Amino acid sequence: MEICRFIVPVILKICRREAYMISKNIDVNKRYLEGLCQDCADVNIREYDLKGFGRCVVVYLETTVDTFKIGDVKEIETMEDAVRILMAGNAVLFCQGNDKAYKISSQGYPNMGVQESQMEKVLRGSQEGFADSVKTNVALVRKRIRTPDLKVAEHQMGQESNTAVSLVYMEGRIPPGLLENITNRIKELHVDGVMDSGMVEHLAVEEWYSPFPRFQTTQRPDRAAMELLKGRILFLSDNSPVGLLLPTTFHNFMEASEDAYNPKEIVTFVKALRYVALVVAMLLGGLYLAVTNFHTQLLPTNLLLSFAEARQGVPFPSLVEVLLMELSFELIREAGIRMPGPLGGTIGIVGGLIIGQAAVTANLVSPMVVVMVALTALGAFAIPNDEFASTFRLLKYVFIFLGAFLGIFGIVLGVFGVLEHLSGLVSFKIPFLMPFVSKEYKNVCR
Amino acid sequence: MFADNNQISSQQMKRQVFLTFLGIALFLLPGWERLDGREGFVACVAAFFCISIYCLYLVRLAPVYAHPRRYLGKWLTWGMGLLYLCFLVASGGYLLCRMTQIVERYLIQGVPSFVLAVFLLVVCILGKVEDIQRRGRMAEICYPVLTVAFVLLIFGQMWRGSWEWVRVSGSIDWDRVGKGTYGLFGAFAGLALVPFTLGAVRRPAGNYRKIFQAMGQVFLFLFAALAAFRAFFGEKGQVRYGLFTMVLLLFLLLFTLKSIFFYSAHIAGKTHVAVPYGVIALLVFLVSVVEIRGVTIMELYEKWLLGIFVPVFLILAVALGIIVTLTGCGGTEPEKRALPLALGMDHTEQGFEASYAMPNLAVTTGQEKETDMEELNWTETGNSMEEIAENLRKSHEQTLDLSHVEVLLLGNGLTADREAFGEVVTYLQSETTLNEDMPVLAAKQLPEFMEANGNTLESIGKTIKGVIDKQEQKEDICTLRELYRQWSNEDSIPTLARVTIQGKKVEIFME
Repeated sequence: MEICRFIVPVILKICRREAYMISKNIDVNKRYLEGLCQDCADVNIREYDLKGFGRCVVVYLETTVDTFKIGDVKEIETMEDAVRILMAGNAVLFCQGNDKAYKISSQGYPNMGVQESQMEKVLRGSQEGFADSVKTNVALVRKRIRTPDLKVAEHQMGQESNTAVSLVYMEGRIPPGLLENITNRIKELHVDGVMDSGMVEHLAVEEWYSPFPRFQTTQRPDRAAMELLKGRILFLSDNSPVGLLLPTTFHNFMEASEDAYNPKEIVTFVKALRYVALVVAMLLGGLYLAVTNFHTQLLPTNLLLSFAEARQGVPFPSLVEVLLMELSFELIREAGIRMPGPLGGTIGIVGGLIIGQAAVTANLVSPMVVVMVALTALGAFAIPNDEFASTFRLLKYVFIFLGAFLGIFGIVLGVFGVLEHLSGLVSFKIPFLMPFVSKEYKNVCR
Repeated sequence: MFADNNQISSQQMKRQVFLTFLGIALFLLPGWERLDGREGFVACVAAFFCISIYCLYLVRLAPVYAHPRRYLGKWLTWGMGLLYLCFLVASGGYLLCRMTQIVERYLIQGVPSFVLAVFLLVVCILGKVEDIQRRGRMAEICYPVLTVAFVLLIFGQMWRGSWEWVRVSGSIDWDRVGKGTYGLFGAFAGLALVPFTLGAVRRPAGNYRKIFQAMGQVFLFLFAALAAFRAFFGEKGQVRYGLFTMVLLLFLLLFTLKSIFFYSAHIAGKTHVAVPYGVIALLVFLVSVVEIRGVTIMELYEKWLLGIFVPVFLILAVALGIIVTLTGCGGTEPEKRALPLALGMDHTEQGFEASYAMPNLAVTTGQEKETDMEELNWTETGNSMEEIAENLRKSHEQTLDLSHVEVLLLGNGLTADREAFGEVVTYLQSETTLNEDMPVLAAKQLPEFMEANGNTLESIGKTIKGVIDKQEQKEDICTLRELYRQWSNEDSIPTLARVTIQGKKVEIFME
């Protein structure tokens, strides 16, 4: 033991790491902690004057300690603050002869607690999902990044709801100016109430006409923690189990949570496959119509003859045929989402197999179109982010019309227009097409 | 990297130039009779040489194109803008007409040509046409895909053809070489527009090299396309393209057509020709479809290009070079110049504030001549640095000469506001006579410094420089060059040493 007491400081000095010894002076200790935990809103440092002990300072993470027992006491000077604190679920103490009131933290409003993520299912990795409480969600992230460099900036949004929101980020990793940009954007929003992070998402987006989402959502604390380490900011709102990751680029939507847990060769292949799926989901329908109606010279003769044979007796033009099948699929999909539990899967089987087969047998549609629609649907499902996939499901119809009326020319116009549009999109001043458009992004975010 | 500074990287600039001219090289030129045979190849080499020199000359004139009014005045600038816009409208109309023809021939029949033209136009004018960053990102994305696709296509075509044309026999017709060279020079006359955008490139030092590389690549593709064309069709063949080739070419030409509108919006803004790009689009459409007495733009464009636009652009370039040489800073006598030794910049709620502290020459030089004390300190405010520069030019008789500024002082308002800081950096970079080794200091008391200049201190610039030279840590003081580097590479404001003044005492504190 004596040897350890001698050797450890020497080793620390050799490694050039000086240990900061606790001081007898409470002000020194308090200043050190305040400096270290600056901008960590979930870290509380409380000073008390206890009889028999004198001045004391308590430091704790408010989300991991039962604050009711600690007695998180805060002075309140105005009635407005007292009411606001009361409405936030705390107790307020008034004393005769004292012109200040005191906030006493309680366990707050009831909420659902930590549950499994419903939106993002993975085969490997944590199954925890965000809860309804912003404090709990911050704690779930801090559980994974246990460093004072993880900062939490608290704000309030909604003039009536006074919803607590938090911006969580890693100091030194986020691009300069990004936090101020997001904070200013939040402060510019004047609404009565914020019930979910989705409201902030739609209020804060600049190019409202664009179908491409500019905010990436996540219900997974492990995903959020990974993205924070990459230099992004996590927006959490009270009463919402969904966090927003900012800024968001095209490539972020093509990444899944489990990519970090699998070997890189497999992940590279899967990511390439996702991009192919994206092109298939968007263009296959339009290309089918363009090639079969305008540019049959591209098809091998036997295939062209098969198409012609398959279309024999179908009463509708090919455009109507494709639209009919695509819209039927959308109906089946929507019905499957709304149906509870096992019924949702049954709808898929009934719609996909039976209706599709029946339509082919009744000569309403050709088998080629059923195959094409199925491939398009699979392409959309292969995109990890549902909101992003929905964008391409929508764009698919634009390309179907372009292909049907203008052939390959229409497809080229559409692709050019989409690329032009994507080139102009930005997410909090970061180009949406990063990292494809600049190498400098890597230097900014570690 | 950030999409808020209206700047592009030099790589994006190179790719924009490459993609703009590649479509012309691969589509409009193969089959042109001026490039037939061996004379065509020799003409390509000669044209590349001429274009390289022309680009070098244009890059040197970039400051004129960035601020044409400063050099040419209001009406000449307006005239120059009108000339370029006429060129763009004619070129856009010709390009739109050719694109409509190829779509009708190769891609889709039965749709009226003017409807096809409308579709092409609509796609090209959607969105913020004048957004250079958007264009840069588009070029960045399309470049690798299109380049690889065309390399594969050209190699695929080359191996399928006959190579009998390679056998050299007979003498070369140099007259045809001359015509071919001039014709190629005209085909790439659009290079005259590039200097208008060079001011937006983040690191302008490599501009010529990047343009040279871009045109070099274009000419490589042109050689390869001509060789493939010759190998496949022989010397007098007709150009035919497969569907896949046509799709890629159409995409390239869409980029070129969009460039027409981009440059028209850009040039109209720079030269203050009040024509919205919607009107330009309409004119382009009309030029492409209108037929007068059986004559369309297809018959007229080559004559206008080679007979009017190219000679005028060349004369204009020479004239601008002469104007810059004769009317630049070299022509002003010393007594007519204002020579500030200290420069102060700040940003307040009212806007930007620039202060120029001139030395008291009578005291500094020891000569007993009268000094107008009011002329020792110039302070100008404005909403932008351009406005300040314009106000200074109008309000003072002397020409401001920043080549001897010894110290730069930045106020707190500027270092706290990134956007304002960025604008000031852009302005300072445009003042190419500034000494980049001069120290940059943070100063809270800028008005006090300016007040002291010429009163308690004969020259605040000399005094501060003297104090700096006596500092032990003078190497740690940030220079203007280091400020540029940190702002460009790391997008951050460097830590600056602080300077204070109390009476005659100037102190510097390292942060």
